[in-house]
Amino acid sequence: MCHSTWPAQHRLRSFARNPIRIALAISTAFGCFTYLCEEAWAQSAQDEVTPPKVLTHVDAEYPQSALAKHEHADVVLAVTVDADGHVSKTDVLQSGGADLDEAAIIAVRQWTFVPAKRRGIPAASRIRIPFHFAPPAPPPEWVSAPPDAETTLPSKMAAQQAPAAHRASPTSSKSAQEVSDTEVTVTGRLVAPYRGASDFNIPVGELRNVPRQNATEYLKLAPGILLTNEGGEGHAEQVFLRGFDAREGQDVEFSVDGVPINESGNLHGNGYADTHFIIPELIGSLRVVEGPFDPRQGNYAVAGSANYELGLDRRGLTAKYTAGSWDTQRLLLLWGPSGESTHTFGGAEVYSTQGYGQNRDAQRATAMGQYEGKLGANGSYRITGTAYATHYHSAGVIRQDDYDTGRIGFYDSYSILLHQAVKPGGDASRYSIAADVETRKGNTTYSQQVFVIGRDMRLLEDFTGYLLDTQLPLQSLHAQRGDMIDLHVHELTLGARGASRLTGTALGLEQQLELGYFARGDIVTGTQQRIAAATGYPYMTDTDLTSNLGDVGLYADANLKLLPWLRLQGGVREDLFAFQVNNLCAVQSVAHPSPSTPLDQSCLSQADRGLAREPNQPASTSSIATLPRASMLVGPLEHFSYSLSYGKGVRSVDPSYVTQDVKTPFASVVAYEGGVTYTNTVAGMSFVGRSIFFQTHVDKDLIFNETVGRNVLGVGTTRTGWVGALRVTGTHFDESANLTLVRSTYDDTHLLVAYVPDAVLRSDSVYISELPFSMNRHPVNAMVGAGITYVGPRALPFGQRSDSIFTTDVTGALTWTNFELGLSITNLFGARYRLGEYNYASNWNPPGSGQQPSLVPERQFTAGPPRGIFGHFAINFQGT
Amino acid sequence: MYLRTIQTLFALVCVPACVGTTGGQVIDFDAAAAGPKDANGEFVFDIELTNGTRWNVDLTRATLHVGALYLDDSLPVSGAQNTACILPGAYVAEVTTGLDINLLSNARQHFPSYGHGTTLGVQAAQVWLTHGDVDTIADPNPYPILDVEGTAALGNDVRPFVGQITISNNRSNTTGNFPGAYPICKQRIVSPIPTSVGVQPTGGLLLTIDPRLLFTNVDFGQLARVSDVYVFSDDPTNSNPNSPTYYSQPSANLYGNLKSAGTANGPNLYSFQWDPTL
Repeated sequence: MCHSTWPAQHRLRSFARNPIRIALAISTAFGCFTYLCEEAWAQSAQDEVTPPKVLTHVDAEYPQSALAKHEHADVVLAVTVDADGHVSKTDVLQSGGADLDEAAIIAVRQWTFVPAKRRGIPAASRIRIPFHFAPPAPPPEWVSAPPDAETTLPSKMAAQQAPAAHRASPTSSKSAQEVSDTEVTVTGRLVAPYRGASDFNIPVGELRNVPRQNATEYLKLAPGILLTNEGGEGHAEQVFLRGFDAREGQDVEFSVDGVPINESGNLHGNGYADTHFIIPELIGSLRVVEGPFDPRQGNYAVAGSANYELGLDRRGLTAKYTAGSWDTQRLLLLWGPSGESTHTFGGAEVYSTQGYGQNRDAQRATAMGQYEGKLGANGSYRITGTAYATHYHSAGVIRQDDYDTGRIGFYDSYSILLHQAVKPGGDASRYSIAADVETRKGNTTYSQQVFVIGRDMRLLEDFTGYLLDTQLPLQSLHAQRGDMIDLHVHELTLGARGASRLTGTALGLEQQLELGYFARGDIVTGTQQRIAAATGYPYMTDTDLTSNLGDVGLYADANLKLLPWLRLQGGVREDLFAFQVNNLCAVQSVAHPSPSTPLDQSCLSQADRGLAREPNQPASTSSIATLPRASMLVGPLEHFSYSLSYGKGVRSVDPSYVTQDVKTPFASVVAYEGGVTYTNTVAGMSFVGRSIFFQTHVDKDLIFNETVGRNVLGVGTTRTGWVGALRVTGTHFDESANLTLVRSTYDDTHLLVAYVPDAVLRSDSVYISELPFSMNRHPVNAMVGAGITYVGPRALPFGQRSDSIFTTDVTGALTWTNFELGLSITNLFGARYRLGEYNYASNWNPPGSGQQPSLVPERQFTAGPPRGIFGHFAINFQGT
Repeated sequence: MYLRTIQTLFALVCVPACVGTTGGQVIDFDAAAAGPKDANGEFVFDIELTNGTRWNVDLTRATLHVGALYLDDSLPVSGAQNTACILPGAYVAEVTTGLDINLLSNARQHFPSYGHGTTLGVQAAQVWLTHGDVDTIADPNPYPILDVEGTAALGNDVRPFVGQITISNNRSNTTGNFPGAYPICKQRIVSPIPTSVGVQPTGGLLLTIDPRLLFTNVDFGQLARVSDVYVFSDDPTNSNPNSPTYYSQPSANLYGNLKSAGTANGPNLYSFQWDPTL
């Protein structure tokens, strides 16, 4: 959809009463169609920019002071239309005299627009509007006037004369047409060229109303996404994308407004990406590229990339309070100053919940702010700050056999059952500031961005219970103390990116070349210890690393139109990854130990026969990855666009694998795909459909290892699959549905890769309408929405299949003037489902239980949430 | 009903993709133990010592408590340091409920509950001789792990004998250079027993224990006489030759044989096979 909830509802208010509004609505739908079509060839090949369209206008009055002169005059205004569709600035390019200039300015400042868009994203624009003033014509004969207009006819005529007098002012029947006879300069940001059918540029729009718990869940608007979370509300979601187990983002390049989210060097997973610092209501759009097809994609873009574009449509101050199941409460404040762009906003939230079942409580607070300012006529800058902190607990996994025997409940936690001193969970915080500037000079657009990110996390997880702490001969006698991992990561990231895009003409067609860079440096410290379940004390250090990591990448991307219906685009990217790692716990065993160095001491300072050495081991290396990407887009047939894409992606190595001067074992992906996109509009409804066949090969995949609590490097894998996606948008509704089928196999055995879903079906639907009654002469608008997810049985180790997942979330809201009252029900049918399922060895029989340990693989699961009911109330002040 | 219909319809979309396997299978299986096939209530057999002495043994009672069984997919390399109680590699199958086994019966004695495992290959097995927690030194159960009774004869020297082995505080060993070199679990676990059981989706695990091998190189002539029977000592710390519970050669060898994992070529006290009739 093209509009946020309230603007849409305002628009609907008088929908049924006013034929002009009907025309507007239809034209808005047309606007939406155009907006969505930009994802496809037809639009992207011709013009990635949609100019603003007049939505409402106010006629200029012929000033009384000019009547005496009875003169004709022309006034030309340069008007800045913000991304929210309002006029923020006017300049007189051609004066018709002070009075007439003022009359034109007064009128045009009251106009509203469907904002200009780049690739579907609302953008500020500057347009040129000429006015022609002519003196009012003589009054018509009384006999020609309609009977009911007798008393007002003269004034009406005057009013009607004005729009007839200035040529740029559209008549009612044309009010929503493009300002086609004006010069349009869109001052929004550059967007990356469309890369083919797997390039999903997703305006969130009304679909934001579908219940979603966090920013990561917006990914479900893209096909093939399954999200699970065994770590708790403050733990990043595990992402499965088109046959990849991307864990917490290690195989997906995440960014927000271009600022990277992936954490290089994070011990829990190199590239760990926690998006919980993003307030969901501040997500304007999402670009998901499912594959490494864009030279702008860098490290971690193995399965693809996702960039959140922040924005707030609703102006004014909005307060929203949500409360519901499990003592969940959320207070959200949003503000968007009127007259500023949608990229100027602030937001803050405080959230707390006890969580469903045991040990799932969480608290968090988030603040985000962004300011967008103008740099001359062709530039803008943005400053963005974010702050986020959370403390949470997690239930962890449940053994299926324990659940079957009634030892533990479906939503319970072993940490409670076994009275463990420290419960699984964690803490996380993230603070960042970013600034960017984009400006255009001549036919070249320049952009620069810098960012600083500070990030801390602590994670307590236990996948195996009492399995790993076996008695070793050099240890003091002990029973199993517990396998809980206590992981700490502290990371400071500094970085920059920039690009220049040159636009020129060749072969009679517009051609583009972009050169860009990306650079980031990360200073990371990470430790992982084991916690004794009975006491909560750490008894062993697994890992203790300090790392300085560098990633500098350069790219060139050409966008060549060979024919009006044939485009070649692509280029190459080169990244240098530099690693300086100091392993502070490099020596964990000794070849010929002495009794004075028992293994109860984790990081030993002796190597062999008592010869001294320090326990640390520095190592450094660097490697260069060359990543070609190319796409061909063909669109000779109306409504259809065909694309072929190829690309190579890379994931840098976990610092724990770095050895001196040994080229880091990059995991490389090679991806191919062919797709077709269909766009059309019928009866005011726009359709965008896609069908994509793809294959990807990863030379070193990440395989989940429960003993270390994360994925570890494994063998090569290949994925082959198909994606179908459809989005249908009408005046009152928005529907997005997609289906992904994929087969993911190991290269050596050709057996299925465990845990990744073969089939994912997702539907998001929203319907909005005005109710047939009003209150206090203000209409009441209603919204209903639903999100449906089906995930087929996933392959598990040892020939097992998980249960399927089928969930339905629904929502509804009533809006009256500036108030909104809503209700959401998640997991409507109360399905008791296993969100994550695993098959590995664990033992939850603590020492002294009298039970022999379980040492063979057994089904484990994390419980998905039961039915939840949440109500919310929102109020907006001074909004537009 | 409505929900089930929807789920069924959705499941149809999975059909094109949800095929194939990750390999292997997870199975639950019956597990049993028995004496040798020729066991029929008692065993009469000869024991030839290394010095050529040949005892004739009439074994009339032999019960063994097995706390758990484990099968592993890897066999530690001979000679390599193998000191941990838990084997390297992946455990393939397990039976974690204990059973008192009459070793003089060839009847299959079923473990109380099913075993659980996968169909991976097996190279090694472990027999856990414990009533309770393998790492807790004190055995919570007063009954012995092994209980034998019989008569040994060498010519006219006829010696009725009894023997009971417990593995508890009496086997705790804190001597040695390294604090954890002799954990109690090392005393309780017979490991690694070379075996190549092919775990199958059907059938069950059969553990055969030949009690005759408990007495390999046991010199009944060195047993101490207590009252009218000769008794195997269960006190390995007793080094007093004049004590009736002196831990002499036959006691040490009986315990040693009980703990012997054997060799790949056998014959071994413990032997595993996958029995399709179970």
